[in-house]
Amino acid sequence: MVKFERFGGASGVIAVAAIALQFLIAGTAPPEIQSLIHNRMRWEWTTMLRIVGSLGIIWFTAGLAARLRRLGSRPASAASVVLGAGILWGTVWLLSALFNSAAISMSAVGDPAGVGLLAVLGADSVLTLTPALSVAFLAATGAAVLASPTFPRRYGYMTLCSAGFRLVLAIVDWYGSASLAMRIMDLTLLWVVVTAFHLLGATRPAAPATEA
Amino acid sequence: MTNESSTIWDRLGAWAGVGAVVSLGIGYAIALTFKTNLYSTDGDFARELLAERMKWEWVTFVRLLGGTLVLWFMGTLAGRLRQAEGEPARLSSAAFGLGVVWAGVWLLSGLFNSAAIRLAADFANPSGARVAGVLADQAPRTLTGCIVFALSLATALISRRTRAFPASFTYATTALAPLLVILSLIDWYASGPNEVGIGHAIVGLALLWTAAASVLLIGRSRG
Repeated sequence: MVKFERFGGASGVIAVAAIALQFLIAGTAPPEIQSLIHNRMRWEWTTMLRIVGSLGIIWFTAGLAARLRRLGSRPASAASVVLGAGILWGTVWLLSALFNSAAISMSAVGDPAGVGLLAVLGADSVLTLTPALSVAFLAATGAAVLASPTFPRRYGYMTLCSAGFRLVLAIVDWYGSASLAMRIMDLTLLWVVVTAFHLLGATRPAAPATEA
Repeated sequence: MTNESSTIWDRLGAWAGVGAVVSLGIGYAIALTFKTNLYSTDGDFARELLAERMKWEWVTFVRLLGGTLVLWFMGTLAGRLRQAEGEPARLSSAAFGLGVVWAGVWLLSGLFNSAAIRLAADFANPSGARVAGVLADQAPRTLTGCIVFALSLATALISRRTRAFPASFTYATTALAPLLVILSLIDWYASGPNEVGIGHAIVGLALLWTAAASVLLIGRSRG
């Protein structure tokens, strides 16, 4: 079981590396049709890195949720929300890869309106949905950590504070003129790395929680 | 602290269902006031959307918020169902998976709504904006029926077997599952305004059921 959790930690580091690399290659703005035609391999690599990142996130989430799941008789609802939020976040990256791949295919057909739609969906899907999902992901992780002695308590408080901070950033991003979605993404990826190293450091199974 | 923090989380999770219903209900109330016609020409659609842009922004916000709250609520509901069903908890696992997918549908709807605004405002792509607007409108109406059918069926089966919920809720949930199938079939066959009306009825029933389940869980968490 610990091996699975440590593997989840390694997957989290790989996911962050793949996602950071695709941001370096593709940037954050939706591609234009000329770029998709003339730099096709650049966008194909972006698709592949998003798929790798997505699978890494899902595997990381499975390892984290397994670690957080309490072994007592009470319902482990916070750990369930961690699992659900992480799987949805991974799925968003998969969808982003799909939209990107479809935009590349449509650019060969020469349909600028269709390419424009797919390119915006490919780039914006992760930036629009990461704030909401990361708030749920972090808040649930913080609650589960404080309910079960699996990670240091300071990590649990830090995670809860980070969830609150992201919520504020997300509301400012939605309402104000400042574009903070990428800052939320950076912070979320940083949190994944910190959590992944905690998982990599797991040497014994999580202790069962004391009964109520 | 251990059990206290878990209880607070579960209480908030129970309230998240009511929060989701309020949030998504507000989204539908705003959408009903739209002057934007999805089935007008591309140019007219984009102009009308930009004229009432803040309404569209609010719909994006409440769908993202509502989807996140549905996810949170499903964690608490599935936890209660798992506790009642006992291990290996196959039905409650299925219920949780369906709830996560339903949350994903609302989040996707929010994404498409946001993309419609971006395409009209920043990319001068009215046809793309209209397709995104149609997807935002259709996603919950088309997918809620089948997802909540399976979710309510799993809940009803656990509830009938274990008496985890009051009899009235169990009977209502048992009746809701086939009703959603029938409405979904009518929705699939219907066209025009009838299709839209039945789609809204399906979403309304699903939200009503979520609110009822949430209120029951709030009562349990107090007790």
